[in-house]
Amino acid sequence: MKCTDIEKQPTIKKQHLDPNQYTLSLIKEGYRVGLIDQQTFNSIQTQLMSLLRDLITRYTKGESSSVKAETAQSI
Amino acid sequence: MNFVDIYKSMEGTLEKLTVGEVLKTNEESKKYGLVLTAEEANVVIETRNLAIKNYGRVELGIEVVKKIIAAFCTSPYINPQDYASTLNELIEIFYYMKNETEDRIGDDELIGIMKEYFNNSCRGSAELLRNRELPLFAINFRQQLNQVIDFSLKEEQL
Repeated sequence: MKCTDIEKQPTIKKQHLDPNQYTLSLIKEGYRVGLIDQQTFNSIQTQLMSLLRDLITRYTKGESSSVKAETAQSI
Repeated sequence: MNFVDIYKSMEGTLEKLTVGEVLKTNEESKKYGLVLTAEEANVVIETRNLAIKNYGRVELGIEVVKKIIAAFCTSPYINPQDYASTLNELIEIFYYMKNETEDRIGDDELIGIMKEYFNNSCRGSAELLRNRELPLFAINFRQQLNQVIDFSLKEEQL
């Protein structure tokens, strides 16, 4: 096997990851280096938003479909 | 996990999915002579998005918009010429009131209160609803809430 047959994998750059927005920055970085395609990227976001919707519903006991942003951060 | 940042990054995507849902409300509202065009539906969504942003709220989906349309399309004070503009005002008022009542009133109940005032004491004036009736309601509501909290605290101390 020649060394040139080995594909170089793109690496996620640590400096692009934001510890305060880790999940979002990780998804974006994964998309940037091609580890995640557009479809997967959209799918992840959609699933996360679905989780947030469920959390809001549970938090408000189904009474409200919206909450203050600070509340959304804490739940 | 910071859901709010992910939510903000998706705002444009959600808009495209929801205009169709707004137009679907025409199936019911047309019975009362009230119909939204595609352009008006877009403006309704933009109004909702702006209100959510300005009042610092997070909401997935447009259930509230659909509920407001369902509640108010039967109002005797809304005519075809001002249907869209009135809806936009009511949507803004709704999110304003969610904050003013500290999220203590559920969506359905709040829409019911708005409808009651709109159709009776405000006689179809969104301006009166926004600037007179609902602010007064919010003040009284918060006062009563504080009284209940004070009473509960005193009971705990005893």
